[in-house]
Amino acid sequence: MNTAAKDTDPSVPANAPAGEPAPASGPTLASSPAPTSGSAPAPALWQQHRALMRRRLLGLALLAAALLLAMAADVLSGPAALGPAELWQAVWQPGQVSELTRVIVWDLRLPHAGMALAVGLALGLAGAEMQTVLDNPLASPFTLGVASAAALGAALAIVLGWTLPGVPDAWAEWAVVLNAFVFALGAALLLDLLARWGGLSTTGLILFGIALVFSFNAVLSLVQYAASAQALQGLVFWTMGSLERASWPVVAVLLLAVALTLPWSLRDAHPLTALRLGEARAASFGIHVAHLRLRALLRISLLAALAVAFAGTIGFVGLMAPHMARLLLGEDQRYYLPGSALLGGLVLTLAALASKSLVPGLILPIGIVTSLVGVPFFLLVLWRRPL
Amino acid sequence: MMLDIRHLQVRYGRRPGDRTDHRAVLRDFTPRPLQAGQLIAVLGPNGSGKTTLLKALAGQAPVSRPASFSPQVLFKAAGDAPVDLLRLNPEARARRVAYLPQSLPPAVPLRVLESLLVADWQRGRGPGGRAASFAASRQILTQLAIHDLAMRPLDTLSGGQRQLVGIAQVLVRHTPILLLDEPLSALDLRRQVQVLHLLARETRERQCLTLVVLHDLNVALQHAHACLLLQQGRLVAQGQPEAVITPATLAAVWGVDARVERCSRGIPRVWVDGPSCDKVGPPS
Repeated sequence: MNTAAKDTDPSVPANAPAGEPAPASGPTLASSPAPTSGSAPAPALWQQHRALMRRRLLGLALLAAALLLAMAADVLSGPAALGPAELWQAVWQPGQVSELTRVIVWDLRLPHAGMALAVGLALGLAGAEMQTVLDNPLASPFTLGVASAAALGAALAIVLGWTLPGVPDAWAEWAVVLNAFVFALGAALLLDLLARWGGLSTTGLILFGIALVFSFNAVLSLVQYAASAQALQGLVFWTMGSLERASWPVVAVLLLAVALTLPWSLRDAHPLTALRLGEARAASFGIHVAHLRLRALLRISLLAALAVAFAGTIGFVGLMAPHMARLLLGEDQRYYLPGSALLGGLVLTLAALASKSLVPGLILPIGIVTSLVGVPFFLLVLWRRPL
Repeated sequence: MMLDIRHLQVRYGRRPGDRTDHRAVLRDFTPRPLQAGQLIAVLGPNGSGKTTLLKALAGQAPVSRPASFSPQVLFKAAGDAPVDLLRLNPEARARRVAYLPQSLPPAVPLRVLESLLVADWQRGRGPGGRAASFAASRQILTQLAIHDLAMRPLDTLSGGQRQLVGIAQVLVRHTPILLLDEPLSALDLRRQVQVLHLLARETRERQCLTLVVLHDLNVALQHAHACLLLQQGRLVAQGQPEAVITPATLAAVWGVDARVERCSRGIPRVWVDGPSCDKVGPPS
């Protein structure tokens, strides 16, 4: 390290005013190098960088606050009029409110809101990681067959009663989820296998994923064709996407999955950011790209499978939340991944709110509403310059 | 410090249904040991294996290991036992080798400074690493005269500016081995000279092993200390630029009629008069 590095110690507090870098004094000729002349004062640049990171953290905090507000609005809305004060009391002192209020808040609205939150978080995170590892803005669990595979697995359990061997009958409800997970993981591993041993490029991978979507959907249609009227009703409702299966155990499982995968993803944040510069570059920085991609696909299939198994097909969130996060928070995966998760939760919570309020007295399937709510939201984000 | 490459061979895999045999892109590449502190130009026509050579050294090409001989890339640093780069894991290799791919860094909304910190992430993880990494980033941005771009997103830069950022990503890591695939593409004249001078200085001062793929033979004649000339995956000449770039090799390898003459300052220059008569076009 020569003298040029010494005077750039970022730990030195800045005396120079922060802000604009010093104007460049013309291009430095490298043949007569003067490493310190004509450069931005180091503390100023360091502070600019720190300020950017702070703004991004603030952005995450604002998103979290918006999410909490949206959830409160979601819990407050519904046929039974409930005031904020009553809600507050019902949440924190359930013993003090009437039995009816307690049932409405704890058995109906909170699980429903928790479900919207958890499914949104899971889909937002899965979509964000998928777009990064496959380096494609069209990648999402729903465009690459992972979710279609989960849907097929779940449909087989719902309609034909096909479950994995060894699953006790008492677990029938969870057998659907397990089926969805195994199918999603299978699809994700198939994608990875082809990418690694088939020498498939990213474009090839995307095309194969799209082919998978069509094949799984075809088999799904076949299952529907063979289904009884009663099973079909359940299946259709489920493929539309709905949060009606909300219950505390389901919410807990989904939130647990997010709580496990988000820190795991964040541990890979630096390599994932490097991957945005291209595979060859990331590999030259010392990143084992194949291992990184396998870990990411594992996380994606876990999240996507759980979300699809419990809530059905809600396509918009996994595709659009990452784009919103990128536009708002930039490419640094330390902010982009949690940002996309929060945005997924926010969009789905707003959609849940809209599904209750669009038609009075009727709760529309959330899969239908999400896209309608999401598009204007996306337009709003498009106007902003990324941080 | 030196790099001893032995029997390096790369074949891109045969896919199911591919009727042609494996195509060896690099065949039994065994140059004399490459010395540190020299700017070594890798020359050859299109498809001669230049990029593949750099990829193989960077651990990004499938090196074939036939039974008859074993490929090795021995890196000998002063006071250290030689290590075979082909047997290192990605992290250990990245501590020794920095590689600039041929394509420009993609236009993503990552900031220039962020992209350098990410390139240097291995150092950034260590104790005091963030500060050191930041200092190194700032220094290389200044040396390349792009410090005013530090906070700009890559997708707002021109192609040439992105190429400079790519070069900064390589140099910021202070590795002993530098592999640059056409670092001068997309750069204007002044930037080309600037980058060449900076590469030469880094190579001399830090005693790097620097391999640069060049297409402009005049640049190689003027700035390189040594040349490797490739043709159809084989090494056909190695040595001083003037010994490698001759009318004979220009005719045999590139298929052009050319002269090498000294300019008024005594620097040799290539003058291409046309495609050579006895050979129909360069092999491609």
